[in-house]
Amino acid sequence: MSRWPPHLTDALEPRPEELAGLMPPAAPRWCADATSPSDAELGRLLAHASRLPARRRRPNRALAWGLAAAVTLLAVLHLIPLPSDPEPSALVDDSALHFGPSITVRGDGEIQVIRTDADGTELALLAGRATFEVDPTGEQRHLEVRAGDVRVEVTGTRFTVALEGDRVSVEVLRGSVQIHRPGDSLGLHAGERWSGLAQPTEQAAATPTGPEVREPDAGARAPRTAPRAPTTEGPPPRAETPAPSTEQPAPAEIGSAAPTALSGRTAAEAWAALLAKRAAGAEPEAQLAALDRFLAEHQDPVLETEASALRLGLLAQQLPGEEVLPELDTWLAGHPDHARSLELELLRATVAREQLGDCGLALSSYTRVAREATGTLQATAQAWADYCRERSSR
Amino acid sequence: MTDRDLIAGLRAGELWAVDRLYRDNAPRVLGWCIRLGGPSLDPEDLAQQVFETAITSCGRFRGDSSLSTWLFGITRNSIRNARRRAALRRFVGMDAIPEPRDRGPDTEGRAVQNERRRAVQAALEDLKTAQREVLVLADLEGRTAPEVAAMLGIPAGTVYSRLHHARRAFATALEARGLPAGEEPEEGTVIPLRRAP
Repeated sequence: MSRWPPHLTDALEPRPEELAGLMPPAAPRWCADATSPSDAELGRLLAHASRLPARRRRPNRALAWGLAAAVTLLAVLHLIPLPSDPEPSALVDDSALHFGPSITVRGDGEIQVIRTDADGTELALLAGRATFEVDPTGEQRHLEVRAGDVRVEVTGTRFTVALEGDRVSVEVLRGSVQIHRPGDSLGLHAGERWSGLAQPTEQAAATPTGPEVREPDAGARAPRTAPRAPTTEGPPPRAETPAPSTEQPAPAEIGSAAPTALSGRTAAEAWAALLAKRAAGAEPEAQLAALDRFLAEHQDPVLETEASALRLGLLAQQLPGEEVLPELDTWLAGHPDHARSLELELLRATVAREQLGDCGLALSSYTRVAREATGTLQATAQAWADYCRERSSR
Repeated sequence: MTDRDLIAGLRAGELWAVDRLYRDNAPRVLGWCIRLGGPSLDPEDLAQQVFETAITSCGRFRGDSSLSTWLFGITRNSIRNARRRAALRRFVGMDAIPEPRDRGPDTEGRAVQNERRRAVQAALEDLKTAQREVLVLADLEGRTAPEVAAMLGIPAGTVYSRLHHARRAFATALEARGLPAGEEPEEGTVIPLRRAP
């Protein structure tokens, strides 16, 4: 807001005739005409007036959508804070493991040493929680921590990794880390948390072979249970110059615990994981299994409908048309106005035409999509409707 | 009848007031929804939502702006929310969402009209929201700069400068689609409606 009196600011405003010379021509009139409401549109809108009760109270859809959007967004970004996470300071205790000159590990987790040498250190968190501190100015500061199939890569920072069941959570206390999952990778910075499911994998604890494998002490594992209270353990062994070992590390046990898959997650989290799997190009069978699991475990009405629609899309690729078609009909009858209904109607038509060779059956679906959709969907349906009409008339 | 009378009628739950609100404002609200909502939102649904919001929240109308300005504010919010929802749906993977239904009879003339409308909407989508609003209110609806300034809550000088940039951007967007950015074409002129790659 200007602090000058209005007559002064107005006097300095450019006059329209002054601006006219500077400006390119105004928008052509036909653009206004092209975007003016038609009589039919106005008629339909005005027809609502007679049906609308005055001052009708509507549920706050905006709020509901906003909340759903926020939850979904957070879930997709995998940044939902874990309520059970203790404060970072609770993880620090008196004992510590040292790997090389720059890496210190504290906590109550169970750690397996995969490799530690001049090129860096690889550790696997088998269970529990551990805080890893890497001196950003020190030597041999490359560290990789694995928890299931999740890899956390770092060259200088302080962060916590926890593996509880099949859920991995990572919290960065200082610096930043890079988290790798099969087909996915994301950066995490100080103050941020990430949580996700670790899939069992035989590579998680890795089995590096050859003379490069080094271990800080005789045991491949360094069990670190319940050190919160004053520990009775002696000072942790330092591993600044670990002796070369040709022994294979102990076999990984990460994958041995049967994952509980989506259990314990909210519908939004589970849905986000499912979409990530889909985006990563998972096999249809795996996607189908994930969808079935989702439908069995969650009763979210919106996501449930969406999941059932996606499931039908996948089923159509796997099952013969005779089996898919009744399922499609049931879904379409139950969700006539759903955003996916036109897509599934088109799918129904495709199944009928391609798999059953029944153009007559397909025509009704193509006609509906051609009538109600616009854009590519409409054009596709219209073309196939014309084709089926011609085939049927022969 | 003044705006205050109409609002008083709405607050009292009078059906004549609802009817009057629709009849007096449907063309402009629907026009805003078409021009500011873009090609992927259903303008009739949006306009209907605007009226429902106006009726349910008429108690909050303080009368320090015109009814038209108040309705424009509701329309802006509704469009913003609808765009956000649409973006979220795309983000979470519910892709290939059907475009708004075309509920009219399927005639060739109508198809051409629809195509032309979508082309203009797509060109408007190339503009920043602030530019689009100014261009729509000033150039497509013929409002004066002070009127536009009052509706958008910005100084008149800002309207001029935004309009200047908006017109240039709009002309560029039209040309990119092979549409005439100048004067109205004569009747019978064939306008190539190719979409931008």
